[in-house]
Amino acid sequence: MPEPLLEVKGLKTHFYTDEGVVRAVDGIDITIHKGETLGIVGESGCGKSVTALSVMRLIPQPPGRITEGQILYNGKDLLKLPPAQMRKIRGKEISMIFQEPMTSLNPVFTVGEQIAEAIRLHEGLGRRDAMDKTVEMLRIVHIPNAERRVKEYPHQLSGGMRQRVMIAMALSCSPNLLIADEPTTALDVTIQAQILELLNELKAKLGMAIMLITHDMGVIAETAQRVVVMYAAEVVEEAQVTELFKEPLHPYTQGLLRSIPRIDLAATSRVRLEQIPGTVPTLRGDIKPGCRFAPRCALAKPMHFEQTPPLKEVRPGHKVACFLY
Amino acid sequence: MAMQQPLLRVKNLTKYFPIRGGLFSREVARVHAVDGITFDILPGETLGLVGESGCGKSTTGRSILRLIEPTSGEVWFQDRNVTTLDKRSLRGLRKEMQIIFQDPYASLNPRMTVGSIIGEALVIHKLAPNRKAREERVVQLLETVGLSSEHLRRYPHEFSGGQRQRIGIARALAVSPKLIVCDEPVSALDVSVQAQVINLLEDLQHQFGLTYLFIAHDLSVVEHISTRVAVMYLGKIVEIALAKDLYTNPKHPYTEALLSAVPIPDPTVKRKRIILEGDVPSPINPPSGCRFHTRCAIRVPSCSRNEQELTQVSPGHWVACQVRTGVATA
Repeated sequence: MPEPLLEVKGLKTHFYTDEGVVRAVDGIDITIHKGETLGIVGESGCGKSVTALSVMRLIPQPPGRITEGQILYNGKDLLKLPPAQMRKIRGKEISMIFQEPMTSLNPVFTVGEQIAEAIRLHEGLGRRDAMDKTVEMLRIVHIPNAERRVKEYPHQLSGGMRQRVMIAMALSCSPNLLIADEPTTALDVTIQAQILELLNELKAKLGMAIMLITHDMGVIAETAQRVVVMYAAEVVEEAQVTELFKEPLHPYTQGLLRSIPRIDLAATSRVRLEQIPGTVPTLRGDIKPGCRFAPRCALAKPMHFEQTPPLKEVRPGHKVACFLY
Repeated sequence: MAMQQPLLRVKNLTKYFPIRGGLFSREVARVHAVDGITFDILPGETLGLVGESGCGKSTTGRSILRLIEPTSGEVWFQDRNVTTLDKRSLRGLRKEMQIIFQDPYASLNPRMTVGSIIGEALVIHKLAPNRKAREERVVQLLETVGLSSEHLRRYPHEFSGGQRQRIGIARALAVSPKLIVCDEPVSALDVSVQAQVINLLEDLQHQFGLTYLFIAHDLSVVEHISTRVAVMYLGKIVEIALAKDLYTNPKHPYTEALLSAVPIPDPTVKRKRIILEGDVPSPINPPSGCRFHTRCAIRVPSCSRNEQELTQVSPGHWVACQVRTGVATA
């Protein structure tokens, strides 16, 4: 039995705006085991990034608030920790990398100073030792001329290099869990390949668990062991990666997989893409009961608009929130 | 295939952006955004133009329409040389060539209603005799792209990204163009909506016999929609072929690396991935000879000296690589 590292239970994160309550995350359960890569996939606004920020307790407050739920890290509820203790966990035991490496690095400090800051804070090293460790971290993420690069500012680096710096910073205190929020979305495809390769290599070397958030099914297929599919602030399906791609159960997951053009099937006939009609529902204000995907679902029955389907395990390790199962 | 007259011919198109600096804002350097590219587009086909950021694909699209003035080279639309047209004739040509932009949020005027955004071109080109006729045409266009007459008096902010892209498409269609440059039309959209817009573009092509220049960085999307595909690297076309040929039998080492880098949404597929070393060099100071030689696994010494010409390796399949086409000289 794999040991759970992080258990998110019944998490609800809401934002109280002038135009009403936005239910960005609306009661989700997610478990990450030690050393595994869990992919969280979904479209813009489905709540995947808010989930990550909730785990890090980085939700801007106000307008945001975690209204319900638990986030158990090694059995300890992070939501109950005082800020000082949370700071000891954030960046040390759980760290995060973001989509846009330029906006997450401070432009007026050298990259070396920024990485060393975290090391000095969490590991209690002196200035000199911290800088040595920083150079070593840059080497681990394969930045050439690490001794020179530590003295450079973020604007002197390319997008791929900046993301490597972010990864070096996130891994400098050997975290148990790395949350990667769309780490390659802003990068070109050849650079994306480099970064994904690096993450896989570092995971094998350092043994941390990864929560990989992305909208790209291809990235999920190549890096994750288990996948959680989110739609409109809820988890609609969860399964092992091979099973999810072989036999997706939720009509949304099925639609998503059929709507992507497949480069590997180029030689076979060119078929029309399947499209999911309509758009994602707004999460502002009162949400009607019923399955949130029902208005776009070809298989929806009248009853599905009235009752909310629970997420239930229909096969070992394969959960789905759909009345059809 | 019978010899068809191309709808658009691009010959040695070049665009350098000056970098000014110093006391008198003298030109101190140049960004070689597009550096002498040549290609044709046949009527009714979709030519895909792929490459990574900064390779010059969008600059190519805009130079063709003269939204930015090319530095040199020629663009022929049927029998007219676009690059030498005066302002007035160029405006006439806008009825034949249109563009759809990437960002559906930035490309629609927030102060105009959807009706006036789409109807503006009808006014400018005097395509509707009166207001009523114009409105009828706009409604017809809205319906063509899957919207309806009730959207006529709404403003862009009331629409989702996918719907805005439909408005942008309706605006391009208003003048019944022959060629549409689609500049990353689906990159800003979510996957499920992306499929809707791709299908719409395909339907419109069949319905109106449109020709597309489809610019995108997503290789899977380009493969899906294109008849032929051109791959760009640092301002040059390195390979051009029928979509199927290019994807099943890529010849240029850059195309190979690019294709192998695309993540496949199937965990059971295991491929050999070619990881390119380093980053794309700066277009201000592009490498000499073959621009790709600094990152190429199969380079020979002469690659850094010899400029690479596109060479035909099989019918319709052109590659700019002296190693692969066997014309390498020591």
